[in-house]
Amino acid sequence: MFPGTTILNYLFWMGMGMMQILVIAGAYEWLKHFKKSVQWWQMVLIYGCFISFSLVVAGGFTLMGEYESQGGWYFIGYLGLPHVIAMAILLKLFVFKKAPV
Amino acid sequence: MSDFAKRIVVLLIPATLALAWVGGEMRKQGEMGRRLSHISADITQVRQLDQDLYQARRKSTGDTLFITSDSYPSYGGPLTVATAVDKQKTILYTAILESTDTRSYLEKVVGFGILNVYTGVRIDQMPKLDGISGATISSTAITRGIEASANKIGVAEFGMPAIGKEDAAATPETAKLLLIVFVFAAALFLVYKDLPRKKQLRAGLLLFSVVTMGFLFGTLFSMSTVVSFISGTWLEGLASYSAMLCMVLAIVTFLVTRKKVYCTYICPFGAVQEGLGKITGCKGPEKYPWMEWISRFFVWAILVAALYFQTPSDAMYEPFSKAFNFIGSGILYGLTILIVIASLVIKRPWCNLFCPASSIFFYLRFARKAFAPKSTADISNLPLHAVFNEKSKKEAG
Repeated sequence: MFPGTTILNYLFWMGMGMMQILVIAGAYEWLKHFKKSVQWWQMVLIYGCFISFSLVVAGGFTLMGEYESQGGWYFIGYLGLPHVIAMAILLKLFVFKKAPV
Repeated sequence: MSDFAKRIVVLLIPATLALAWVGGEMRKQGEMGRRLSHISADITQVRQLDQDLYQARRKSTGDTLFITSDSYPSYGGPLTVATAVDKQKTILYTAILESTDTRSYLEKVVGFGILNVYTGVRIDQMPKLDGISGATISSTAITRGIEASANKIGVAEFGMPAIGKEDAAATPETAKLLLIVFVFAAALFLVYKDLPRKKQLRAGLLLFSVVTMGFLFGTLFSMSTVVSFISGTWLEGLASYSAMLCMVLAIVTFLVTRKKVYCTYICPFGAVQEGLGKITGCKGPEKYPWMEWISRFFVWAILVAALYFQTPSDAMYEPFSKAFNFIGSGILYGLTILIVIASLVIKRPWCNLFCPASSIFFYLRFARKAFAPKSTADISNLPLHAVFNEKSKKEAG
């Protein structure tokens, strides 16, 4: 990520880890605020999909770093798109589901 | 707007398209010699010997060359290839002179080295090449063009026997054409019949269309098809008539039913957008007249430019080929991704805001209204079959 430096790589990934805590804690608070009842395994699925999407973005930019810019963009596009669609389906099924009558 | 003004506008549009086409034809005249001299920097003093045969000189050695060209049908129309042969019957250069295929697709085919295969080969010992898998139609047009043009020089200059032109289609067409007719027939059946589960049947037909007309055969019509149709390049032969048939049937069904049957019941890209929209339950965008007029003006401008430059493939700005066959430029790729993601937020964003088919259908409706005789009965907005039913009821009564 930061060639030639001793500590920036570690600081960057520590920052990324801290941001994941914010994502999870933020999602928890948001669900509570809007009175959404989401099971733990449903949250795991949604978050797993998000992590997988993040890995796709990381993979794409790694390819770009290896001077395979076109491959990087295609990697993000063709693998990222199904992730976005899957996340939309999961959110619809588990978070924005119709209230029971 | 008065009826007279409407009629003027309706007539002006085809008039501008015709002018662009005539301008394009004039631009093309006398270009062949110049194009042949650009095959290689080593070629100079190109002069015409016969209708399709040219003689030139190599700058480096001073040797005489014979150059000719031949065309074979490809995706969007004829693909013209030139071959340069020296007096020892050896092919020195091959080049694509003219093509209506998608540029990025053609670059991919040329990138496989298909033109270099023939360099240094004697024309009486030509290798027999099959098409490149995944690019069968374009590569077959190129190889057949080189073989035919090399044979043309052999016959004219070296007394070789003439070889008949290979006319068999590069890919099987019957299944595609039958499928298109079947899908349109099924759509018309759904339009005219009051069936109990019409919504589900429509969804089934759209899904079938996505799988077959989208992913399997890629038979969607595009602006490239419209330009090919208007410019008449299809008269010189097309490798695949499926998109053309699809376009003709879409227009015919629109004129007969006065409904966008193709858009509502068949279009695979529309179906994908609608399916994605169902996930989030999003609504269509709020449309303002200026949005529609920009889109219509854009379609007209693209048609004029494509007819003038005689490049149907450059008119294709729809993301269909990228979405279903992964063919197209980087810009189309970005557009496809944006449209697919936007489909989760807005219902059918491409269809509602950008699709050129909507502009073409609008023009047809506008033209019909401008020229149709005014009816005293309130049947002007009814579809054709309903008008007939209305008339037969009155006669029976």
